[in-house]
Amino acid sequence: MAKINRSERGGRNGSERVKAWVYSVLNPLMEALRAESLALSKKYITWRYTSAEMEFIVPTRDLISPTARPNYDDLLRGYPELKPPMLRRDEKVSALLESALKCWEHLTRYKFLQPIVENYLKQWSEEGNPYPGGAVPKDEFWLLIAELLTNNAGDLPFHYTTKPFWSRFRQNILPLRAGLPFSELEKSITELKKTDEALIESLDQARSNLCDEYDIPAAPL
Amino acid sequence: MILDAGPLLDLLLYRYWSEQGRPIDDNRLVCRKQFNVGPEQLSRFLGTCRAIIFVPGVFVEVGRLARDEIRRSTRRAQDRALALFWRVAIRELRLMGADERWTKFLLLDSKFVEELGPADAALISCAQEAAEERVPILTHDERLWGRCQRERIPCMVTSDILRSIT
Repeated sequence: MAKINRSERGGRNGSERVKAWVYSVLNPLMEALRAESLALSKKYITWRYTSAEMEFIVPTRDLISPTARPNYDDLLRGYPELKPPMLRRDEKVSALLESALKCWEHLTRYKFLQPIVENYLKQWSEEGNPYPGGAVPKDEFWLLIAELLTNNAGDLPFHYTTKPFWSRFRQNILPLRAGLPFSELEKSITELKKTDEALIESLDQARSNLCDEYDIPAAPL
Repeated sequence: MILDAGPLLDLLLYRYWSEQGRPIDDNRLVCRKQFNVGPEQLSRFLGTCRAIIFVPGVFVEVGRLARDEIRRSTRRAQDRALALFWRVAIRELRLMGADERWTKFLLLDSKFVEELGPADAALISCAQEAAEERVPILTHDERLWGRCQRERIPCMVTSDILRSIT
């Protein structure tokens, strides 16, 4: 009887390697990209004033757990068709970061937002309300508000001390998301979202092909 | 409100999933499974509290429970998931204006340490120190709640939230 291409465990040779691609790279990546796409549909870019970076929107390789990154690199060698859509996404992430930085600079560099927020804060305090910034130092409170503005924040969670302040003043603050930097930001958000969706489709197709070819389930049993 | 590990973990997991845009599976949270309290209700209740206090010992338990939960829900890729969890946790605690109170282990009442363990003993010690402020402990742990009742230490079990917000 001719020897067929089977490993000792009974699966097709290479199936363990492919499982590593699917379970430690493709699945987490698709999950992260779907979450990112949802956040982007709300124009939430996970901007943080403390780092002046987007917390969860990062290059594709960084979306993978460090221990699984060798599997990611191996996937790109073994399945090079995935490389171009990933590179396209990384370019869009860089473009979004650049747009976000310009907005941040616009809001903070000339401190045009600072006196506005401090005015609202003064009004808030004079009405006898407690400081709304939680453990954020008072001199950084306006930066926290700039972060909410950059992230197009809607309702905040009830347990945030900033919630009552933001609920009261956000209709005055959110219209400051205007001007060229913000229209560029919106454009970058739309482009990244589109690229994410295309990448999810490519990853889904790749997973399907690999599962069929190696007869493995799409998620571990 | 002095937070025990259970409600704190539920709140942090809820926020961790929300921040990433992941659907919230209430049934993975003890507040929902055991007490029929949703994470939004927990958040709303904490928003009405004058002060939110935590003791560092509770974070040892939160860390262990979060690792187990994340291991169950992600199977692999735990290291990144846990790093993100802690990043979200620190931010949440800052934005909720939580106040950290230190309790020295060697000054804890050994009776409580022996009976309930160091984290619960630290919660009791914190509640006793804040006796004048009458700040209760919020816990999922009915054993701790019962012990506090006997010692006349203000304590709420999570289902009490439903009474306080209706």
